[in-house]
Amino acid sequence: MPESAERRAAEPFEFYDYNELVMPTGVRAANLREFLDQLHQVPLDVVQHHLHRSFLRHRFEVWDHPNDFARWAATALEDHALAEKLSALDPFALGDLEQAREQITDLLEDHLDELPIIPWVRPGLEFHFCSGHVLALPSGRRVATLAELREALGQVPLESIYFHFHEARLRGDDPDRDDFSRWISGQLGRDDVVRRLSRLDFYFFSLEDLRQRITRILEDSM
Amino acid sequence: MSGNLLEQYRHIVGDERIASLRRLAARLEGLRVVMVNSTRVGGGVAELLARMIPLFGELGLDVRWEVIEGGPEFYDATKTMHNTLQGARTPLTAAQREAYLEANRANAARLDLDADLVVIHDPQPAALIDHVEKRCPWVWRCHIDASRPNRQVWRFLRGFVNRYDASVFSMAAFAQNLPHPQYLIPPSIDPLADKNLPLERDEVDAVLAGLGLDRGTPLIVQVSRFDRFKDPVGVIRAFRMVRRRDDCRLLLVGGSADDDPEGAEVYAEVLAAAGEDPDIRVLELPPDSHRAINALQRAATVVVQKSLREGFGLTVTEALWKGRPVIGGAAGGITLQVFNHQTGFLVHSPEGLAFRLRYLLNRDLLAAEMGQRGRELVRHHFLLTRHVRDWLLVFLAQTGRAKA
Repeated sequence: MPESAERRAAEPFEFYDYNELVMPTGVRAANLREFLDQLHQVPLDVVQHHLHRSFLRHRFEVWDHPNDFARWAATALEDHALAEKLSALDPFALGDLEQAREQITDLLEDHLDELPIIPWVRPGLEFHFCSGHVLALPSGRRVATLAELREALGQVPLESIYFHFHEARLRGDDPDRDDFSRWISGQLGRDDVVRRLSRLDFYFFSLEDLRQRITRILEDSM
Repeated sequence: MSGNLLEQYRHIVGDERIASLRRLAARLEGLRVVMVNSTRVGGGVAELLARMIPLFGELGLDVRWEVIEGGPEFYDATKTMHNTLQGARTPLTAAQREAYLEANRANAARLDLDADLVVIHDPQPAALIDHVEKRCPWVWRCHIDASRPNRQVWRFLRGFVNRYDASVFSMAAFAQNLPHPQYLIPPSIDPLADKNLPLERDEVDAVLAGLGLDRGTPLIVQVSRFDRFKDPVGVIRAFRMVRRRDDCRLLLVGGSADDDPEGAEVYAEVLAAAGEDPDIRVLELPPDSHRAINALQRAATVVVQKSLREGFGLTVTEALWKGRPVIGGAAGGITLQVFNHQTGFLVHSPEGLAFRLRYLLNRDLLAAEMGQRGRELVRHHFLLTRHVRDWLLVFLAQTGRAKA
């Protein structure tokens, strides 16, 4: 094992427990026009919930429809062109949530302009706008080396990985930096590992896939 | 109850989940909660509370369970309310309203509701809030599918619900326009309950043998009450299409239909549709046949839940937990559990069901993989420990202890 793999951080990395309780708003849409009108009005937390936190919901087709909007377009509206457009949105490259909302509503307006009729869903498949009550709390689990980080990654709940890898990008100034990378760079000076982490096209992985890929990068680096 | 109940879930959900529950609960140490429902035995809510409350106790919370009581007029009124909130058109009569209000008034005087948080389950005790001095947050927990309620009855109930500090629903589709926070807590199954615990192969074989069945022929199973929305006749039609090419048997398992006139009618239709076909078995089991149902779900090659309308669909959850692929109607909560080619298939017609049955009966390995993915889906999202965690989050949100 190279010396750098055993290097101990002066400040350990602490994992957080990430708990989300979904909060339905009671607002629903049964067709694309209603959906668009509601999307203009809902609080930004609702946009975040459906655009970002859909990773937490263990959708198997996550690689096809990485956000709730795209999934609804595909499975309920059965408008596959729209689902493709919404799936291809990278929420971490859209700017802040208000900008993200604008880009999505623009996309929907353009799409509606091209349609001869407004697509509807069958009863029971309406889109239900939700937000979330989120609680992130220190778990007490701390690691000080790459080896310890790798071991902990195999054991912590997937929600914790979402918090440190996805949501971290919304907390900091840099949408390309996750909590692990910040710590590995700042505390262990291993920018080679950070570079490999930054190349992960994480938007297309389920959280379990992501866990395995990060673990593999850490293993390779030790 | 033994002091290590929570530990029994450790090997199922993992160390971190248990540790995380304990960390959340540490912020709620000593919190006094009272839960109120309308029965101590029988029905899903009583079953859930009986299993959940000891877990809260082990986590250091002081959770009590009170039961509202009333005469026949009260139960008649609440049964009407229950049915109408699920869409039945019958109005609530003035006499029924009065019986409902009177029972709530009397129970408010009788019950000990002194706590740091009050949780009221379903409509029966919802009006208690009008008859007590409210000193802490009150949360209304609605277990029923109120997505298309009878408007008149909902208006009556909403008068009380509006006074609560929060509501909890099982699916986003059931949420309402209310002046307070609404939370979503999906239903769950208990992996340690008779209906879900692992069974020895011999026990499964014995249940099959009791029905004159064995493992030699693939078995298709649907477990649900005899109700047109579960489309049992559609399942028989699909089975007949499959049977032309594939050797298999169909088992339709439902509860006794004695107290349900429509159920008895549907049961008769199902028997007529099954005719003399020796490969179709229609079973009426008593409501406490949990281990027998467990065994039949485990014996199934494919589990079917061909609902045309569905609340959450806990029979789907149960089947997935047992590692069985599920073919379900694209309705309600089934769409949250069944994913095409992943945990099974969603279908829209008897023809669709027949096609997917043939697909799975001829692909053992794929079916087994789907079953395993289904089990993991349930492990992550639909077990009792997640349900307990969600409640802890509601308690934290409502008591402001999250930041303590």
